Amino acid sequence: MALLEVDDVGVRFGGVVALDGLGFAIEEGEICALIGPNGAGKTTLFNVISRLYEPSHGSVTFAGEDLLALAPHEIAGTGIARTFQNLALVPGLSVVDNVMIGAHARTSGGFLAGALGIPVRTRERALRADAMEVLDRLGLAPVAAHPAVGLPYGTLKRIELARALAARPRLLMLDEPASGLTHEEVGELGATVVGLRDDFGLTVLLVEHHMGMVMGISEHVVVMEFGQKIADGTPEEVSRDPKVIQAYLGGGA
Amino acid sequence: MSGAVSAAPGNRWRWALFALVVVVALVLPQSLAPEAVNRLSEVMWVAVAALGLALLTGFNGQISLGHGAFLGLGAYITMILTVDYNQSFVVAGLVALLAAFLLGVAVGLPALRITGVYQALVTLGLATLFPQLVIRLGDITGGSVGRQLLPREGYGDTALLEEVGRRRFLSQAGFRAPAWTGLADDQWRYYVFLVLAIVVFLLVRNLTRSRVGRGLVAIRDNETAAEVAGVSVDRYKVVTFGLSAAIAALGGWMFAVLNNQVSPTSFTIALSITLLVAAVLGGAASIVGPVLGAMVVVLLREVVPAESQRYSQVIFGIVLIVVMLVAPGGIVGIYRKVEAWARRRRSTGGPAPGTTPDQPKPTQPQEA
Repeated sequence: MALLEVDDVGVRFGGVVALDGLGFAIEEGEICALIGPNGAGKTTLFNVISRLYEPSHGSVTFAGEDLLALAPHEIAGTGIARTFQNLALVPGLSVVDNVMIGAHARTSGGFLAGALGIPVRTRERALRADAMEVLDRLGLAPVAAHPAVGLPYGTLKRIELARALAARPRLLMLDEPASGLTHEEVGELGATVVGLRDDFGLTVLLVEHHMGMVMGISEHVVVMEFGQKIADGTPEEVSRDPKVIQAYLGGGA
Repeated sequence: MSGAVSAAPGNRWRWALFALVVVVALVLPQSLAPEAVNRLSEVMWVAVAALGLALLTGFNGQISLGHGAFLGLGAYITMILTVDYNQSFVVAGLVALLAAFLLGVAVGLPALRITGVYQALVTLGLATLFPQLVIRLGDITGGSVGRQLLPREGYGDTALLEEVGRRRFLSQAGFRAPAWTGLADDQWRYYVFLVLAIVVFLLVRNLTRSRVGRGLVAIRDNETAAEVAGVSVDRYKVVTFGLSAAIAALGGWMFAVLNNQVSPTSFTIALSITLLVAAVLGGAASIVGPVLGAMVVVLLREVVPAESQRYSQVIFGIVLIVVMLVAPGGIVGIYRKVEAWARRRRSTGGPAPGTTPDQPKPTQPQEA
């Protein structure tokens, strides 16, 4: 059974159809890239899976669970973590605290425990150690104490990745992780994603425009245009697909 | 960041300072006149209420221009239960906390749909409504005269005398120092307030540094990020509003205990603004800030000549504008900036900002 199944999902914003009967499935352990021209609905799909957008129809199933029956804050608890196309960090917290926020769903402790302080101390220490480990892995340990603002863009993107990893997810969703990165950084990022998948047994769903990276690291590519799927297969398959060539290079190709 | 950091030198220094402040606070009333002791007690109820407001506004990013109403609710419940229902101050305080928590939740619920300026308006409405409601419910609250020695209309002579006597007795009884303490009433009140203020201070401090505290700040800075990380945004906001209201009501309990009388004029919008000024002036996103702010706000009135007292709201307004323009982080914000600047100077030419990789001792930016 596929880990994530998206079936016939439709989203409209007023008169605009953002997603039109989109459906595909991702197997556990694979790196799947979602590609397509701007406005194809890739980020919209991410936001449907995160429950930030309500689809008009269709279903989204993760590990057998109907995601559309859950509230947005419950998604993280099912084992899904994501990053954002435009960074969504918490500037009022330090880098390490931002990463610890990522672990919110897999930890417990309410207002009373928080106010009394004592019973959560050891857990808090373990959590901080976990976060430091993730930061260390991504080469971010030197900035752990720095507020999560005023750092280079590539660093901020890695902090978001660290926050997603702190959730110890089964499915990691990355929304344009390579955008704004230098050529070298993109190469490193590809290796990092593959390494993380291998080490943590992750499944990765990736929205990316950087074709070199997409073709280099993913086993599965889903191509979208105007809210619909136009191709689905291995990188080799989709890159030979006439519809994909048409969508990317225009009518004359 | 409890625990992990208690060994860090900066933190040890903070605890030492905290201990010093507590010792000074313990010794102070021994050498002060009762009026001065009462003034410090006033600082403490303002500080407690401002801490509650800081939790809501500074840490969670919700706005309340109506915290004076929660404070008033606490004060009225305390007076009515102790005077009319012969309950102890402890019982009255617990009821006040619970009632304010529930009202806070009720006011916090619409805040899930409305934010920013609209939330400001709703809470402003609450602040305006409260004194009016108190006057309307005169049978219970004593109306516009408040809870004083005056009886209500419609009493026969005997009843009137009894009522006067009862009220007078209770007014004199009020919150008395137990004999075993050997303290004057004003000193006893002061020490009780000090204990309450320290407890509230530590609880809010722990909360803001816990998992929940991180969630609150995440909601303030980026609600979507908080939600995606699994923070139950709605529940956190509503519970925080309730807690904040309950803390303000504790301030109201202290108000009633200190003044031994309540009237609607004490809980107008002016009080809500004063609390906001105290929180913002000191630094609302900190725990030390509201305490400093409360000192400034109460002591400012000492400095301003009596004939200019009616301009105090004008002064607060100007102070608020200047603070927002010059130092949005308040007094604590200025301190943090200086501290960060000094750290940068020290580490010029050194490694990357913050700490070295092998020494992960992060300092939390919201720390004061």
